[in-house]
Amino acid sequence: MKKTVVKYLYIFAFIIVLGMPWLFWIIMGTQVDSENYENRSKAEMPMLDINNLQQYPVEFENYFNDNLPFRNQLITLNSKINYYIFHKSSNESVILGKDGWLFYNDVEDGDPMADYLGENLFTEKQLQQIAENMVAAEEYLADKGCEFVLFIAPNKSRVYSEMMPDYYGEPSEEYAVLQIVEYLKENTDIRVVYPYEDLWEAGKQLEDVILYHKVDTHWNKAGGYVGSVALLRELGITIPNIWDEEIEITETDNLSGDLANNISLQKDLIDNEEDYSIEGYGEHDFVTESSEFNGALSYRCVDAEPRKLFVYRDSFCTAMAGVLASQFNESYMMHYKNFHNFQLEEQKPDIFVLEIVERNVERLLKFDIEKE
Amino acid sequence: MVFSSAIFLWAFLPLVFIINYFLKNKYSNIFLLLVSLFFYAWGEPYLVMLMMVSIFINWAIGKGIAQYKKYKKGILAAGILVDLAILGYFKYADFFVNIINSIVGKDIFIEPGVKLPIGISFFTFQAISYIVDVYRGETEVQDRLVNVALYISFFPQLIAGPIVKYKDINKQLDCRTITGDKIAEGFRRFIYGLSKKVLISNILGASADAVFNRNIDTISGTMAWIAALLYAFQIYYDFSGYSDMAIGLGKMFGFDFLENFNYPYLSKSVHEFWRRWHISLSTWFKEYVYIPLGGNRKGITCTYFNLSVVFFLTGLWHGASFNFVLWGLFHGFFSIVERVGIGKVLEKSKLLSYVYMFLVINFGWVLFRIEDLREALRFIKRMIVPWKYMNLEIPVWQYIDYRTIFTFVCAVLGMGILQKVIPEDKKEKWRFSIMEFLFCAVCLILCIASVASDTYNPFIYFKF
Repeated sequence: MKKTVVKYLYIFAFIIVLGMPWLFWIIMGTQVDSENYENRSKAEMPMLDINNLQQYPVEFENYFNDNLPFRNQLITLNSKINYYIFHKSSNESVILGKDGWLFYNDVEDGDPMADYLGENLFTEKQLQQIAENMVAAEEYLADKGCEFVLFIAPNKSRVYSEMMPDYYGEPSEEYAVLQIVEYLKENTDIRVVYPYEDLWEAGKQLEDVILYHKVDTHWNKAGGYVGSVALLRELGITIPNIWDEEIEITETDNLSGDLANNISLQKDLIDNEEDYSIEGYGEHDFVTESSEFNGALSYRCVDAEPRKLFVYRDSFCTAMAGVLASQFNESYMMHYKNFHNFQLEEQKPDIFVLEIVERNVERLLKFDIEKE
Repeated sequence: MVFSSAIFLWAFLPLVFIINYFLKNKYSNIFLLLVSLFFYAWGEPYLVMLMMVSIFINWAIGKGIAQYKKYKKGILAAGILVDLAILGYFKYADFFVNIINSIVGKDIFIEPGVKLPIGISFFTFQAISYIVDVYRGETEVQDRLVNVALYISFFPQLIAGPIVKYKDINKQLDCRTITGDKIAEGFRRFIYGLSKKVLISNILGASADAVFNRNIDTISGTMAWIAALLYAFQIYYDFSGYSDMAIGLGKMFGFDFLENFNYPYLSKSVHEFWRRWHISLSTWFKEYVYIPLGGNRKGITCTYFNLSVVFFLTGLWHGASFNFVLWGLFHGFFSIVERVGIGKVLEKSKLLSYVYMFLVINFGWVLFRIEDLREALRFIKRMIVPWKYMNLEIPVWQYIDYRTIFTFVCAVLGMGILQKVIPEDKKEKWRFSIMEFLFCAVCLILCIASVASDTYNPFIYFKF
C-alpha cells in the first residue's frame, strides 16, 4: 500500500480514536455496559470557584475519568490482556492464584498477605490491649446477663493456601490470629471460635465441595455452614457436620465475585464460581424480618433455642446468617459499620457474638463495646 | 496535565488540534499561546503567573539588548540573574537553606517550603537561551511578545522538553504549514512516544518500584540488579517517550523540533552517551556554560574544571538533592577519565566499551533513583558483591511477572539493537507501511485501554 495512503490512515486513526469517541458514545452509549462496578460513587462535576482553583483541575479530571466513553469496555480489554496473555492481575489488590482462584492483597484493607506471611505479628502490649478490650466487653455484657463469644473467620488464603501462587510459599505457622487465640486462651476466659481446623476437616471430608468463593474474598454457603457449626457448638447447639449424611448440598447458580470485579472480569470469570444450598440441619422454618446489606439481618423462628442471638458482624456473617438464624427463636445481626451501643438495650440479647474476618483483627485493638 | 492522561488524549488534544487547524496563521500563535497557558495553569493555576512574568521579563530583556547595544552586556547579565534567581528560589531555596543549616550546625534559616512549579527548569533554560542568542546576534530580537511567549510556553515541550533553542524555531513561529504529511508523521511519532511511556516505562517502573520501595536490608544482590536494570529502561523509555510525544505534537501543529535522544544505550563512552541522551540539555550546557567558560581551549586543567562544572550543574538541574549532584559528578568523573586515557583503551574494544558503559549507566541510575546517599551506596554494594546478600532473596515472582519480562525484552530490543541490526532499506520499507500502521494502531488501543484502566478504582465494600 502506498505510503501516502497509509499517512491518511494515521489521520483517520487520530480522528476516530481521539476525536470521535464522544460522538460514538452519544450514538451507542446506551447500548453498551456503563454500569458502575467500583463500589463507590462516581465523581461529580465540580463547581468552579475562585477559592478552589488548585483543586478544580483534579476534581474535573476525576469526573472526566469516571465518565470516559466506553470506559468499562476499555478497562475490561486491559484486564483481559493482562489475565489471559500474561496471567497478571490488573489490580494490585488481587493476586492470581492457581486454577482460576483469586486472592485479596490490599494493604489498606487489613493486609491479608501480611497475615499469610506472618509479617504483622502483634506485640505483647498489643495482645494485652486486645485481651483487655475483650474482657471489658465480656464483663459489660455479663452485667446485662449476656454471654460473649469472639468469632474469627479465617482468610481465604489461609484455608486455600495450596491455590496461592507458589512464590508466596506456605502460610506462616506463626500469625496474628493464632497469637490472639492462644493469648486469650492462656490469659483470659474469653470464648473464642476460630474454625480453621473445622474448615480443614470439611475440605478433607468433602473433596468436591469448595468452601470459599473462587473469585470473591468471602466463604460461600458451604464455608459459612462449617463456621456456623463451630460457633453453634460453642453456644451449646449441635447441628450436623457438613459431611454428615443428613446434609444435602446442592449446587446453585453462579455469581461473580468482588475480586473478579476488582480486575474488571466479573462477567468473564462468572463460570469460575461455585455456591451451594445446604439443607437438612433442622432449619426451623425461620422468617426473615429484615435484610440490609450493611445493616441489620434479623430473623424469627419457633421451637428453636430461646436465647436471643446478637451478632456484631461483617460481611462474612452473610453466609452464616441463615444457619444461625434457624437455630434461635430470635436473632439480630448488625453490621459493625452501623452498630450502636443502644441497640443492645433495644434488642436485649442473651448471646453477643463479635464476628470478624481474620484480616481485620487489628480492629480489636480499638474495640470498645460501650463506645461503638 | 500529562500527555498520557485521558483528559489530554480525549479532550485537550483533539479540541486544540481541530480549532488550530481551521485558524488562519496569524491567529494560530495567539491561540496556541492561550491553550499553552491553559495547559500550564491546569497544573499550576497560580504559578502560571510566574511563567507569564518570566516570559515578559525575557521578552523585555531581549528588546533591551537589541535597543541599547552599549549596555547589552549588563542587560543580559540582569536578565540571566533574574532567570536564575527565579529558578534558584523556586527550585533550590529549601536545598540551599538545608545546606547552610547543616554547615552551621543549627537551623539559622527556616526552610521557605516553596512549591516547585512544574517545568520551571525547562522554560527558564529556554528563556535564557533566547536572550543569550539575541545578545550573541545568533537570532534577531522578536518584537512580538506573543511569539516569544509561545516559544517559551508551547505546551508540547513545556513540561518535559526537549529544550528548544529560539534560533531553531523562530522562523516556524512566523511561518509554518500544517500538511497531511506532518499530521500523519506527528501522530505516528506521538503513538510511539505514548507507547514507550504507557506500555514500557510504566510497566517496568511498577516492578522496579516494588524493589526500590523495600527496606534496603531486605534487598538481595539479584533484586538490586533486576531493579537497577528495570529502572534504567524505565527512565529511558519514560523520558524518550515524552520527547517523542513532544516532537510528534509539535509536528501536528506545524513545528519541527530537534531530536532529543539517539539510542543512548548504544554508547561506547560517557562522552558519546551525552551526545545521545537528553541532547537538548547537553547542547544547552555546551553552548551556554562550557564554551563561555573556555571549553577545551584553555588547557587540560581548565578543560577538566569546565567539564566538572558542567556535570555538576547538569546533576543539580535534575533536582535539588545531593543524589542528583552526585550522579552528575559521577558522569563527569568518567568523562574526564576517558579524556585522561581510558577513552583510547575503550576505542580498541567494543566489548570492553559496552561492559564499561553498562556498569557506569546502571550504577549511575541507582544514584539518580535513590535520594538517600547511604542507601544508594548500600544498594550499589549489593550489585557489586551480590553473593554476600543471597540470604535476603525473596521469590522473584513477588516483584516480576511475565508481562514485565516480555516488556523488558521489548525494551532491550528497542533500545537500538533492532535499529542497528535491521538494514536501512528494510527500515525505510517499514516506515509508513501498512504493517507499521497496524502495529501503531494496536499500540494506540493498548495505550488507551491502559489509560482508561488507570481510572478504575474499585473497592471490595461500598465507599460512601
